[in-house]
Amino acid sequence: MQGTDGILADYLPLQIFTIDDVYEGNVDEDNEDAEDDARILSRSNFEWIRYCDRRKSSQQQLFDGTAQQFCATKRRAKTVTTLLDGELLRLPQASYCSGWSSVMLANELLQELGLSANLGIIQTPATIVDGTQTKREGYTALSFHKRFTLERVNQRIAKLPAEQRSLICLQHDRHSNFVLIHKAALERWQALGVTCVKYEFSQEQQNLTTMLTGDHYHGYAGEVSYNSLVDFQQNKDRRIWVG
Amino acid sequence: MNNLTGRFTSALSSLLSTASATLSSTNNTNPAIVNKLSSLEAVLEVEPFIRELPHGEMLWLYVLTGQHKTELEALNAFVDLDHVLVMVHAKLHAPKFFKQLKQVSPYSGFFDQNEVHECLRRAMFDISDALLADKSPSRAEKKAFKHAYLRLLDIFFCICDQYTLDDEFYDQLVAESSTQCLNTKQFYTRYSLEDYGGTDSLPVRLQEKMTVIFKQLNSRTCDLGLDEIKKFDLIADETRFAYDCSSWKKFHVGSLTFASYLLYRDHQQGINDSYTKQLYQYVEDNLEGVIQNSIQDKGAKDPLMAWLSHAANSDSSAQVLSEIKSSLATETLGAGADSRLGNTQPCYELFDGISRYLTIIKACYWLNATGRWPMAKRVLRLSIELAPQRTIYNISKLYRQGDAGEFESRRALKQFLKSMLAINVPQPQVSAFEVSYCQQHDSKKYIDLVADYWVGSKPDQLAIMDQGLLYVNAIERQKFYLDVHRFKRDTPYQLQHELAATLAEHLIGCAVLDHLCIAGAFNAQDRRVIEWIEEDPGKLTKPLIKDQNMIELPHWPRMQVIIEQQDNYCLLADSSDMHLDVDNYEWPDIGDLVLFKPQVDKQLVLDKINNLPALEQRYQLIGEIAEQYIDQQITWAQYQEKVGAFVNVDDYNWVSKNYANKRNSLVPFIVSELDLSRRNRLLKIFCSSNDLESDSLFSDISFQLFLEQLLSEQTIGLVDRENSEVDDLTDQAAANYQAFSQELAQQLITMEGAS
Repeated sequence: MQGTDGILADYLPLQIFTIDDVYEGNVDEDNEDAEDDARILSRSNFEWIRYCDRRKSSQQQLFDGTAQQFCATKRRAKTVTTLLDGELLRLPQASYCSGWSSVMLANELLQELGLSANLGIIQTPATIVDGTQTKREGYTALSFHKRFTLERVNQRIAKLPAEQRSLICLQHDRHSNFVLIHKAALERWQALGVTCVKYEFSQEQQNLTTMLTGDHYHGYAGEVSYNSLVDFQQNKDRRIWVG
Repeated sequence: MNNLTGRFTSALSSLLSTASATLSSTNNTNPAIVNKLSSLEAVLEVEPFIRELPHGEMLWLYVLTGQHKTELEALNAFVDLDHVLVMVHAKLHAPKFFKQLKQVSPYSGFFDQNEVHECLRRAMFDISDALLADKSPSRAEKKAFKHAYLRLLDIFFCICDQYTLDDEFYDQLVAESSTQCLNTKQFYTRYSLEDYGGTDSLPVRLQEKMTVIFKQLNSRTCDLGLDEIKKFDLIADETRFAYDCSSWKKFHVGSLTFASYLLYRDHQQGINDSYTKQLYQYVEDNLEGVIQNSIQDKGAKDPLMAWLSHAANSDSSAQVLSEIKSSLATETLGAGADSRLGNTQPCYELFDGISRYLTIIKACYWLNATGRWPMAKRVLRLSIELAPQRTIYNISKLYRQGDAGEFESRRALKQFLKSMLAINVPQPQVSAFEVSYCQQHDSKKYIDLVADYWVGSKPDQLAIMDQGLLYVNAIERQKFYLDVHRFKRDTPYQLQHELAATLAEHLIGCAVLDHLCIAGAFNAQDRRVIEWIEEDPGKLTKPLIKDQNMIELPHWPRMQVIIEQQDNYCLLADSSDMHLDVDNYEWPDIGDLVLFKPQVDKQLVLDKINNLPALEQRYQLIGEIAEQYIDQQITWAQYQEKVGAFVNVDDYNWVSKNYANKRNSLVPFIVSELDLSRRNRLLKIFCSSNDLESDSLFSDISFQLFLEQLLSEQTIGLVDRENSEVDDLTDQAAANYQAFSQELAQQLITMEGAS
């Protein structure tokens, strides 16, 4: 990050691409109904809630480390089940849980992070029930139970070894936050071929002061759409929309 | 756990038997007091939370006695507590404390540590109540309990990343005399990493608070009141660095409002230093831009800015004001009803609940008080001119506790009213505000005001009050005139002329919808009514065309009238303004639809639509018909026939829920009517069922009349009259009410036209 001499100079924002729409068949963008019919997966197929919360009007957003079963806010994707014909639905390696206070990570990404208890990040082992109703293991929900001020980071978190503070959640305003990731960890993710997080940031996007004082902060890198289920499964020809 | 308990008990026993003489005065080694402290229920709830922390036993002894501080510090045991997450730890080890945390929090599920920090004071309520409340018999015990509480807070302070304890703790430990343990400096030294005052820049703690304040003040829904001002004062009292506006955002309502308050404070305290000058320049540079932004989308921007900046010729002020009034955006819903009901205040969007302009008025009020800001003065003048009661109410919040609660004293109210006159609020508006305020918050003073209306008031004084009351909320205005009538029952209720409009306002709630009015004029077998939300009309089998005489209906309610013809469907009336593609067999846009069969005369349908009175006319018509019945100009049967086309007389559920608390209540007309025959006809409009005993609307109205009778007999006073409910009645009074209600029901049932 820029605009700081402290440890945060070694960090970048953790920004995740959310999967917005996956279409199948002809899409007539001028005809909303036809577009709806062609959309077989949407953002809510990849936004996670605890399975036990699925019938509740408000869902828990921070988890306490007890292993949990998760499902998407929109649970069934019938057409997809048929089209996949037994093939596993591809799940993003990083995505948000409902409310964006927790992030769902594939364990291979988590292994690249070092998270000291002082960071206030709780790891909850997750079993995901995906849109085809298949149970998927190998995921962990990271809940950010603490939002640090800049001063606290410099005074306390800076004393932790760099490899134990891969993620830091900063306080943005009274009720919102933004998460920073250590550049070394981000590079390791990039080396693994992870495509669902953002690696390149403009000067302004890296400016800590702008982030801290701005009225709004969005922790997503953009929305990704695919023209077919095959494209989505192979993660090719993705269209990125940055709002 | 058992091991822990054993170790703890042994440590405690050892402590109690070897009371150290070297302890500082805050330590507590009196065995009796320690025993009592550790057996308090509230303390027991939090005990497992502390004891299960790293070095928990020693920490618990520290809480109870003050001992082991040095050892704990040497182990870094306090600072290292910051890896503990309160919610997770409490859930695991201290279920009662966890429950307490969940109960006091506005958040659901687990909430984060920052939110725990925010609601910690409330979570500690039972403990502080046990340890700080003045219940202990001895001074030594009181002192020991207080220090145990402070030591407990030491631990939570460290767990919560040493973020300065919340203002609520400051109030408890410093400001509140009954629970005061520390002075300000001690509080900040112990529960904040920032020094209190004495630094050479603004402490980060205060910077953070000010950032929050700026954001709150900049919010469109900001409701700035006395509670917020107290927070401003705490900051401004602490350091002059809080006045340094060099890095504040430009053209920001939040920063400008805070700057205005600080200038006001300086003016009050006679301070005029470099900070004051800097603030002055900041306001000078930003005021106009901030006002301009806040009125951007509320209409009348150009004339309004010209008027505010005094560019308009002052001689033509009245003309410019009139231009501004006519071009300001108003809310469409409710505005018509207000004018029918005698409320002369238009609903300007500029003054609605999501407008930053309301905050700007408060800023201008402060600036105006410094005597240096002509533009602030003109903002106030404009606001008073446009919406006097809203302006007074808005400014009054600066002096009232909570959410527009009470003034601190009658004297404070009096001073406020004076200050309103000083900024040229007209006397009628000030008097009306006083009535409105006292009606809510000072019943004794309110009764005096009602009495004053008659006693010793000259006609011109009455006129002053009447004029001001035109601008207050309709319910408050009605209540005042009803109470005036109650004071002198031989004089009629002064708002009697609003009866027709009020009746219409209530009856329209059961109005027959437009499409049903049209359909109802034709045989059921000749038409089909399709309420789009309810049913799928199926596919069109012929193209849809527009009739050359098609009637364009208002956009609301959404409806269409269609007649089927040999080769097509023909749109006779439409509110959707859609373009029809004749090749596409599509229904028009969503709305309620009346579909006529081919045999119906098209011209008859068009005539029926054209002759359907507009909503405004229907209001008038319904009110007139109801009033004719009350005046005995028409019979009950005639009333039903005339009104039946527009009002579903069988459906008064809506009325029964709203008759007393809608913006114009029916109650004053009912209880003030001295002619019983007229009153009963008025009642019959709403209570025409044969089974009045089970009619909740009738039960409620009869209870209102019963209470009114008790009031007129002076069995109860005005305050009891307002607050009484059926359950409050004594057995005898309940029996009397029963008899009263039965007699009233009998009167209604045996009236002319009863079925």
